[in-house]
Amino acid sequence: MSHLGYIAMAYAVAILGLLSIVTGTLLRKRGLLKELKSLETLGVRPDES
Amino acid sequence: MIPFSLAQPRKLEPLLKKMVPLAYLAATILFIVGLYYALLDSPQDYQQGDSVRIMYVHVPASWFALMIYGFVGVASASFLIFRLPLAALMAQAAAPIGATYCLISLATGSIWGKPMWGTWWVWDARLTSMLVLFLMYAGYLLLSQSIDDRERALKLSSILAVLGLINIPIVKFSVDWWHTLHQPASIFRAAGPSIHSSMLLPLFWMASAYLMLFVALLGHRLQLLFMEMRMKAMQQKLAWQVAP
Repeated sequence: MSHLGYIAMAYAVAILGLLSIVTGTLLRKRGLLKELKSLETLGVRPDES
Repeated sequence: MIPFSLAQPRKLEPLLKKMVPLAYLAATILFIVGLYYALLDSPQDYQQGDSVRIMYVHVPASWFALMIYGFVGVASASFLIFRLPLAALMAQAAAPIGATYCLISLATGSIWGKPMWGTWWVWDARLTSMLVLFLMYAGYLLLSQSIDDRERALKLSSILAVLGLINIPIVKFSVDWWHTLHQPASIFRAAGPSIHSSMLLPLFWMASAYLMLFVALLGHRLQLLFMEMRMKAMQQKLAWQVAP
């Protein structure tokens, strides 16, 4: 493989790695918001204290 | 250090709400500038040729993998000694980010090793201690998730994080203490950086981008932990309402 191939591979790994943690965090937030909403529809209010 | 009054979710949350999007925006701009300098503007190395450009994604990932572990360890010690719940939450929020940076460091280092050393991996002191760092992160994350008793899980994972601090100086000084295939320190050393400013500048931009992304993700993941706490309290409330 040429040097450019190794550079492309390294940058792809780094960018995918960083994007995966950002995406994971966003998906987790979406999941939690859904769960919170479903609890609120059941009449449970968040504790304000 | 976060002021004491901010050590409560209710006071910290409005600040995080404003700070997180700004930090993501700053990280994106820094990455664009950094990638421009790293891929287009910086010169080739006289020995490594273009392969030296891997340094700009590998080195900042390694620095922050190490620094974030230091942060996790110190926050865990603060939780164990001063009983600061926010410190434990910060450690929990930071650990997955550090583990990701560590994995990026290991993978990009391996990819850089192949054209330079002729091999993907060697059981060299720096590479092995970096792998141990990743295992410490993995151990911390597994332990904090695998015990149902929340307080016990936090206590045990915090103890593991503090014990893992021993590995930090081993990673840093491994290239000085042992003969390794990995090159010695070329930036953080007593005699000053040994690389040219035309390569230091892209490294600075990329390191700033990694740092800003860490700040954004830390704030974002703290928000998630606060939401989880709120949700658990609501689930308990619901259980009390439903119970006969």
